[in-house]
Amino acid sequence: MQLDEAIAPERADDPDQDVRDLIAVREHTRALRLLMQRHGAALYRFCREALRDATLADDVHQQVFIEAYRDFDRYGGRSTLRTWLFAIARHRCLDAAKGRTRWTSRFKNEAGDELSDPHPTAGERIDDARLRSSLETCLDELGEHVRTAVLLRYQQGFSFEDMSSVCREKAGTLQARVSRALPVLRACIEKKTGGAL
Amino acid sequence: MTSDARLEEALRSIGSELAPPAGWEDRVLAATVGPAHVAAPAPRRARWWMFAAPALACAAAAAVYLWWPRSTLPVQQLALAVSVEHGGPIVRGTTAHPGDTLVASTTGGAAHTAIWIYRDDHELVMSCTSSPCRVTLTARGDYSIVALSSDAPLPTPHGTLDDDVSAAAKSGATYTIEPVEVR
Repeated sequence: MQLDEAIAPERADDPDQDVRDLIAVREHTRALRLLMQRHGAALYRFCREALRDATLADDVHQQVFIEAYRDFDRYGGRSTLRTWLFAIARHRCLDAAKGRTRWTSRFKNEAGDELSDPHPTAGERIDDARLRSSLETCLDELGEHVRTAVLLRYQQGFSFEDMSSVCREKAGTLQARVSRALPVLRACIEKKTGGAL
Repeated sequence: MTSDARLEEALRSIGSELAPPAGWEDRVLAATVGPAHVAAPAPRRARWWMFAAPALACAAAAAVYLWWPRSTLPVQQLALAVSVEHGGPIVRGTTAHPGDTLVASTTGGAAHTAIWIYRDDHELVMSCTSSPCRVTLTARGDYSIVALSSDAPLPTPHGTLDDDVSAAAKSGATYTIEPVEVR
């Protein structure tokens, strides 16, 4: 994100206004600590599910905060700090995902084999454990941009307007992308489990 | 609960059992005070000293100009012009689409000039030592067009914008960067 204003102006809807104040007076380490406390867990969940690789997610997750610390001076305040952090995270996840494409395709095949049910019952309602397991595999089969959009929307609860700031794409485009992904996910889950959602 | 609602609920709870590894905050804090952090200047980032440095440089250049013998001519400053060909007439602008052609040209500068074009800061799309530099845009992304000038031969770019430009700047090159969004 290109956020080059020198000082973060007040923004009524940002629950991290106290952190913005710390950044404005260059109390960067204190600001970083607060951001890690408040958003560390959510960002970790996002990185883990976006990358589907614990080691890579650990690295990217920490890199997000290191990069945020380095770029505090560039934070312009046009988006909330949470949105800004997730924008960094999404960029870093997409970069990391590009670097392990071959590994991912191998992982997908293995995961698909593990989840195939030898005794599916047609029309049976899928239990929560199988839904959860197959959902993770099916998310992995979505494209990187689609998966991150779905996670931002549902796992992190972003509005499409805020997602627009994170992804630097139009809200309508993101809404259409997420809407198209849901039936794909549903079909994938039902195919893998042999049951009905 | 409908199937849509059930799917959305499952998506909302995905990864809820996950937690960052112990000690991660300490590792981040350690990284922010380490030498690698201090020695990682990003050439495109605006900081106060980036405005102060050109001002000091201008003052020094003015002083040299006033004291230098008049027979010495000032070198014409490096300038970069970027345009996008949309398959029709050439239109100046900073947005483009896949299939368009990017045309970057330089004027002025020192004995050695080059144009490096990157996508998303990590992919070197084109490196030209003569102007104009033309490249057909095949993928979406944030492109950066870098024009460089130096009295000495420029280093070979390896593919990462920050690293390549930092290396060039260390070798004494001057540069200017123009962004182009391809959507």
